[in-house]
Amino acid sequence: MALLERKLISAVAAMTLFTGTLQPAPPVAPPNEYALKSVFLYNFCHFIEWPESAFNSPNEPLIIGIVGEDPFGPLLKEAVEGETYHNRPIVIEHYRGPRDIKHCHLLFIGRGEAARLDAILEAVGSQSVVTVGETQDFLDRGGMIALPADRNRVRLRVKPSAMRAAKVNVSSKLLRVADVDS
Amino acid sequence: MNDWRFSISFRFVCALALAFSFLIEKASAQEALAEGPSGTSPTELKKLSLEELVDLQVTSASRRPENLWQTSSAVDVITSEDIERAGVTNIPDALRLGTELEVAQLDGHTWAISTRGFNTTVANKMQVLMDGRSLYTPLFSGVFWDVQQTFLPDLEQIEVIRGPGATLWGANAINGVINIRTKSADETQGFLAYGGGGFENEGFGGIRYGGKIDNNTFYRVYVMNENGDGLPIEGVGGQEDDRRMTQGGFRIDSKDHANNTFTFQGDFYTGNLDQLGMTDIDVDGQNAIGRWTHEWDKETSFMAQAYYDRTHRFVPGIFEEERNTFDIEVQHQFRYGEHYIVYGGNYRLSHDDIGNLGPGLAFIPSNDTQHLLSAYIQDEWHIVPDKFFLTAGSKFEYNTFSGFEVQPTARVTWLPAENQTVWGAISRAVRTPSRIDQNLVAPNPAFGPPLLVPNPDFESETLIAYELGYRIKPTNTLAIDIAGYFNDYDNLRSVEPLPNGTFIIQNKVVGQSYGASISAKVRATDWWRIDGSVSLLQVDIDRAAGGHDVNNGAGEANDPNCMFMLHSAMDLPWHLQFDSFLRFVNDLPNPNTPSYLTADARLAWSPRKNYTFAIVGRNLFDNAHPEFRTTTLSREVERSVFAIFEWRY
Repeated sequence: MALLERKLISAVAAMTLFTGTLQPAPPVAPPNEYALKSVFLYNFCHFIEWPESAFNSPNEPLIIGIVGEDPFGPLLKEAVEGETYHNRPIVIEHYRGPRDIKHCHLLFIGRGEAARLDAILEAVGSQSVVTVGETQDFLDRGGMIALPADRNRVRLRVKPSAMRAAKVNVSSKLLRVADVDS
Repeated sequence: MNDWRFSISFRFVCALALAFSFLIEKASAQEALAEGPSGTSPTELKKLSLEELVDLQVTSASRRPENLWQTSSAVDVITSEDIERAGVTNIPDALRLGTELEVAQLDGHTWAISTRGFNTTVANKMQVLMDGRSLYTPLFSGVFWDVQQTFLPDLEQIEVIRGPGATLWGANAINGVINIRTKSADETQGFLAYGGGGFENEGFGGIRYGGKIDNNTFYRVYVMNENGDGLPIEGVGGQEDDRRMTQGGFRIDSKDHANNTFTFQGDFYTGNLDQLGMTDIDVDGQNAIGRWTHEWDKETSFMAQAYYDRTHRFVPGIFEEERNTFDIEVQHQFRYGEHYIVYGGNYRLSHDDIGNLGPGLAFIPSNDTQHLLSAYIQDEWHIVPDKFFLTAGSKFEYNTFSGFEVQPTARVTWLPAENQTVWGAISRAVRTPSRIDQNLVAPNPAFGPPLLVPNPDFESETLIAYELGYRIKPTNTLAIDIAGYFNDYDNLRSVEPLPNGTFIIQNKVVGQSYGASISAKVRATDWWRIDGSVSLLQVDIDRAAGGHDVNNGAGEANDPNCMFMLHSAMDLPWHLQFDSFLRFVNDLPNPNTPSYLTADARLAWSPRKNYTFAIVGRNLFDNAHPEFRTTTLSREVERSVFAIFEWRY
């Protein structure tokens, strides 16, 4: 018994010593949840194709709308500033509630808006607007892309059927890394 | 064996010292990168591929209210991640992670828990809540820790406030408040099953399922079982103090379109606790709470809640207690200019039915109903926004035992720079009397007056507390929190001899305590963080003028004057996590208990996102040591090694 205990403790002590010199190299330091989500939004502008009819004029920018509280702070601006979608600049707009939603192409619906989600999706209707939410049940409730936090990761879930219905095309590259909800 | 044990401890300390020097180097290198406070910036992240992005870990700090950093009291949050990484299986062990928290286990089902001193097995100077339900009992103003449990994977956080929180939290929040919160039902969807066991751990397990009723309404149900292993008697061995508990519960959360949140939750438990040479103690309890919150915006909200709580404890040959508690509470907060105001009220009825079963002691009367009525208001005035805040408020309370009580506080916060907070506070708080103070009688085994005479005139114990604190984030990867206090107690409980040779409980002990704590969190690298704390404490208790306390004031406290804790959390390649903890508690004076230094470790492997396998070792430095001796027999906490498996679907 004493021998077993001795082995056990030396194993623990050895582990501590050993791990002190281990140097694995993950690609980057863990970002804030919304730094990561802002870059997801930026990527969506590249891996999604909107129909020409979604734009009122040839010079109209690609509009990312945020309804309700903006959890990004300056992060989303940093992610999309100077970026373009088919030579159209990308801009950010804010809407206070479902009734204030105006013409946009990508609509971000934060966690805090879960209660008003039905009203928000109704306001969007069948326009070519890609809806992005954060709750687990976002796709079941009629959303297109969900970015729910799962422990310390952000999941990417996509519902291509809902996107097809809105006449937007989603790239297979995006679908390959996403959990696809049919 | 002893020499050898010493050499291992010494090696462990050396290893940590080495680790620290390594870490300081890393921290300064990290600083040079001058990253934003939120880790890697979007600009950096844009360089990653989609595959890399979906695999990335994020900091979960965004869930924590930002203003914790600016709080004008000593606050510490034990997160669900901390608890998981510590591999603990019960709430008392989770509390060992908190700064300045004294946690000592006496036997398989008894703990002594307090902060800033006055720790005993019937410690009575803390308010403890779980999801809005008060856990302390008016039987002795303390907590029966053996029946406080919850489905740990669904625990959101444990908030620990050291120092008086009486203005908002009520009487008994004199030395501190422990606020245990579980996750909302929409965050606990799907199946989760866990289980484990091993050496000196007889096994535990539980299963939860979370689903949804409609798009706005989520629920979960759980059931769990815990077999706490007994502790051997010091110098003798043997056990007979196991703890077997079965618990279940549910929670429903619903949010509607008009910013209303409804929560309905409840738990039940049943268990038995072995006693040496005696029949088992039986415990059971049920509770249910309903809460409605309406939020207009971040600063304006209204909350109303009501709960029912029944507890039952049968201690053969000593006593039996059944207690039914009803509680209703409302709270409103709003902003008026630069004033952030919160006020509210609360009514609690607690009815007990005590069976006096033995010759040794009795509660007279054996049935009693206690009423508690309270109202509070607090104004946080941002005199210079983002720079200087003044908080003032008071609780006004009426209770059956001591009548009317006032518990005011005044606090200041100064933010000299974005990365620094200085705060100070002066508060008055009371520990209201309980059944044990006013109604406890020790009958005389022979004919004659009782040995302990009840004292219905026992008053509240009072505290005037002076606190000072400072927080600084010198770099993006380091946060330091320092807090100090001077506590001046009056009217503390004493046992006074009477001329006829009997005794009475009175308020003739006074005391002062002072101390300080420092805690630090270091994110050394993206895969390694270290946190630790040191706390110092001095408690001086003495008879008041005219008092003759038979314990000379020593019966109310048994505290270490120094404690420290160091935690290293590593995320390793191959989906491994390695956590190690070093814990030190200095000796206790009365009864004398030796100091101890021990270590815990956990190695976890999550090959897939939905399951985790972990090996946990606790109290690794010796076979067994006592944490809190008693004047009769004392038991020792043993080294334990066990496995935990967790599966989510």
